[in-house]
Amino acid sequence: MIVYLAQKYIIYSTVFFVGLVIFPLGFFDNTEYVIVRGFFFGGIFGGVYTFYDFKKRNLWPLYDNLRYPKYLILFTCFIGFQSLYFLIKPFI
Amino acid sequence: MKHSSALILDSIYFKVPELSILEGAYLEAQSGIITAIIGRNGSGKSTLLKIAAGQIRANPGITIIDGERFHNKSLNKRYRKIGYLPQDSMLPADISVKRLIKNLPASDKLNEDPLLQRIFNQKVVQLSGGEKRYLEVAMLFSFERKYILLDEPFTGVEPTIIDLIIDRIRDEAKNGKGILLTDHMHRYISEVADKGYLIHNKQCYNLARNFTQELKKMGYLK
Repeated sequence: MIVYLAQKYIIYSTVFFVGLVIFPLGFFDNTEYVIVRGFFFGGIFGGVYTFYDFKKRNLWPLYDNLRYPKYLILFTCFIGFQSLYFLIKPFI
Repeated sequence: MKHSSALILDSIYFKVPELSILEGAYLEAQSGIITAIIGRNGSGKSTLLKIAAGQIRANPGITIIDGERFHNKSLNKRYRKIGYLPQDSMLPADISVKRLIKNLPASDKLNEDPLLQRIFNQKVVQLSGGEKRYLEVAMLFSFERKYILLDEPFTGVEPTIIDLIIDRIRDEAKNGKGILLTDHMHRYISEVADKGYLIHNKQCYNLARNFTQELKKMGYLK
């Protein structure tokens, strides 16, 4: 179930990342700045959206029953998402 | 200690804006015993279970599990002892039963269940309400927790599956688990429960063993 949560987080954060990168790229010259900012805010918005999506779908009681620390998992996903920047850095 | 092996909800108050739901409710569920909560719609049955499960906070009120007092939600500590079945399904719809079960700690036990074997390759969204409910109940009992809180386990479930769930509940109670359940299907509740509470006037009233007679007396049944 941790993998399921991480999958959802990555999908939502990537959607926010794309939205936060593609639109500002038309206005700013500094690509690296826009991408770093996209990862940071994409990760935060993705986390908040994942939390409320799971709340809306009543999934958190399942994670409570499994004794998985949801905030810690979301935070770990956020850190993991930030590290993706280093993967794409050589291509910027 | 008298209550060392029990789940107790003591002096529970809960209100939402402009409406008080519970006012000083007291309830006790002992291990090895099936305790039922009965009440009208909106009387606070699910609220009591949510408070016991740490999903919402009483304002004020205290949960005592085996002598340990919980003022806050303390989810990690609470769920060492309890398993909670919410009123609405807690399963993700877009996952297969096989993948769901594989991710659970006691997946071997669940793999042997004949009803679950039948639905093993289906996605949760393809299951009927009854199958989904049975899967959730079976999952909870596989967690090896001392107290199981079941919020409407029989609602929307066909009688044959209800019988399976009742058998499961009885077996687990015999094995020493404390079951706290609520449902509107009072016939099944009366059949399975050893002890009952009626929520009336924002309080919990202890019912005598013959639920039906007492519920009629209190105006809950005609």
